[in-house]
Amino acid sequence: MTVDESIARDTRTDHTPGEPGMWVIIFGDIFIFVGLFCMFLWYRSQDPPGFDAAQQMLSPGVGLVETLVLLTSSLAVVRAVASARTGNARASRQAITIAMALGAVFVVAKTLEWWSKVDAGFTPHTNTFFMLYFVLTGLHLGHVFVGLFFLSLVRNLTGKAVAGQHDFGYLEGAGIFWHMVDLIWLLLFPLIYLVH
Amino acid sequence: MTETRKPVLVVWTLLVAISICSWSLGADHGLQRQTAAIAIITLAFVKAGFVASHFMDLRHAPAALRRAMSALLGSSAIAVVAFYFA
Repeated sequence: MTVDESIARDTRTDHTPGEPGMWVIIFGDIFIFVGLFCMFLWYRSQDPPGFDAAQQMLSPGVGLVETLVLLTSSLAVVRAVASARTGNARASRQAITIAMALGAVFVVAKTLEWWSKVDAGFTPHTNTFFMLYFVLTGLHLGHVFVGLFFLSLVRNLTGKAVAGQHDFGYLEGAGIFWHMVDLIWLLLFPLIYLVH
Repeated sequence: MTETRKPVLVVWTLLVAISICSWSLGADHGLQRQTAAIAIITLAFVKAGFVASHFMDLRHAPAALRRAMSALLGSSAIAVVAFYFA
């Protein structure tokens, strides 16, 4: 992939990353998740001892590992965008592959975590805490799948002979969506797993 | 290592360090529960701010977009703390 002059010329000031429409999705998603976090805390305020007892059944260590996996995946996406900006398609494609692999690791870790809870007898029907735990982490996992789909699309774009401004915008947009998935997890993990 | 790579690596290292710090506050700490909770929530939104500015590259974005994200994260932090004390 060679790089379009308009991308290489990017002054990096007053530049709106990605497609402008993507930011509507980003702001909307963050807003909705924060609303759900407030709902979680409101339910918690109705039964603090019950929520604290149920929270003891979670695995904060696993949540921390999942956090580090997503953070590292985000770093790889930053590298992918930076490499594409300088016209290094090979490095960009490799970085996206690494980001997707780490995303897959997160999916496997979350699945195993859910499996261990269900195996121990904790399901969405157990109590309000576990209902909210499965709903919130499930909604987030859905976003992880959408993010992986976007990354797979832009990974193919990096194989094109000449990348234009639109292609680069798609890459940045997919990257921003992936960072939003990371950002939401950075809020979700402490609220559900750590805050007593 | 390029100029753009350095600050992002520093931010990533900082995010990892804050995450471990938050985890230790939640797992075992000498602080009061509410103090620890507020510290954990504050650190979570600080991390979100770093992701928005350095990973999403909002630090190079138009001021209106930067301010909109700051307003969203700031008001969200206030709402979450308020609901924690509800």
